[in-house]
Amino acid sequence: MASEAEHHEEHHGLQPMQYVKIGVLLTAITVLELAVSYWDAVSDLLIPILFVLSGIKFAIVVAFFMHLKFDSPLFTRLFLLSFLLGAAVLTMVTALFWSDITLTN
Amino acid sequence: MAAAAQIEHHASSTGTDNRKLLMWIFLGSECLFFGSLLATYLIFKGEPTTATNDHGLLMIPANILDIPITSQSTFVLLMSSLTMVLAVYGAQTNRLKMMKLWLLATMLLGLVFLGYQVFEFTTFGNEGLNLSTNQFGASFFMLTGFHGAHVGIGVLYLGSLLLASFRRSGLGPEAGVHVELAGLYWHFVDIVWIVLFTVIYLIPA
Repeated sequence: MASEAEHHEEHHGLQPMQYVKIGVLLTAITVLELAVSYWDAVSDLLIPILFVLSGIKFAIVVAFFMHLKFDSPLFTRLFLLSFLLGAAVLTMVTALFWSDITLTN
Repeated sequence: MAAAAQIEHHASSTGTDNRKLLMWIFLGSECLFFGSLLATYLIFKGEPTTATNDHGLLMIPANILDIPITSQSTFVLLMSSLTMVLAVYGAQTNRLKMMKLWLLATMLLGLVFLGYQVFEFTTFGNEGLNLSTNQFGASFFMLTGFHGAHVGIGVLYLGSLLLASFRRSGLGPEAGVHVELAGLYWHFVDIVWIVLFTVIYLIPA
């Protein structure tokens, strides 16, 4: 019994039903992404809309499923720094070849 | 008492568990790895090509990628993240049956995702697109192939935990930490796919 109580204290996050609700929300966002990608009326804004939607999904998974919202801020800083570094590498390398990319598309 | 002593033993000078810290550092390095592969794909996906399939269509993303099929596999991977977090919950609250059930479900969903990827690769191969067809093919297979390899490693990782949980001593007093570490890896594979699905499949060439 005592051991079970100790284990209960170890969990820092949400309850199963809340996780299920988040799963439903993630599915809904994915369906929305798909719908937007086929919707001609928003073709000019397609890329920003898709980036925002996938950014929301990304943030939800990291915050709630990976428990960063409830865990040590050190992990958040560490991951954010690495993610930004990765995004910077991506941006810089792509920018370096930008003229090639736009010429060939 | 023993569990508390073990956890204390694994505490780092930052006050966090050193195994979790190591996993987050590893995932950080993976951000750079996938960032570089994605940059390579973005550079090469639009390279001019003369390669065509049997229908005379150029081997470019718009003519090859199958969004409806990939949407299904994306849904499967998203759901595997849900089952994984439920397994972590089970492990951390000492509900071992729940943990085993959701670990198994996560593994199966991972295998289904890999099945979709094998189907996609085989279809593309039959169309004539492979690693050496053109720059798009090379960078596409490298990027999604490495992601698939991560999913495969994840399935093996979860399988080893599931197998160990059937021992008499189970996963030991720190089952919650072991499953949480596997969960971090699995969710990372999922968030990488969230980005890849948007950039490769949904954003038009």
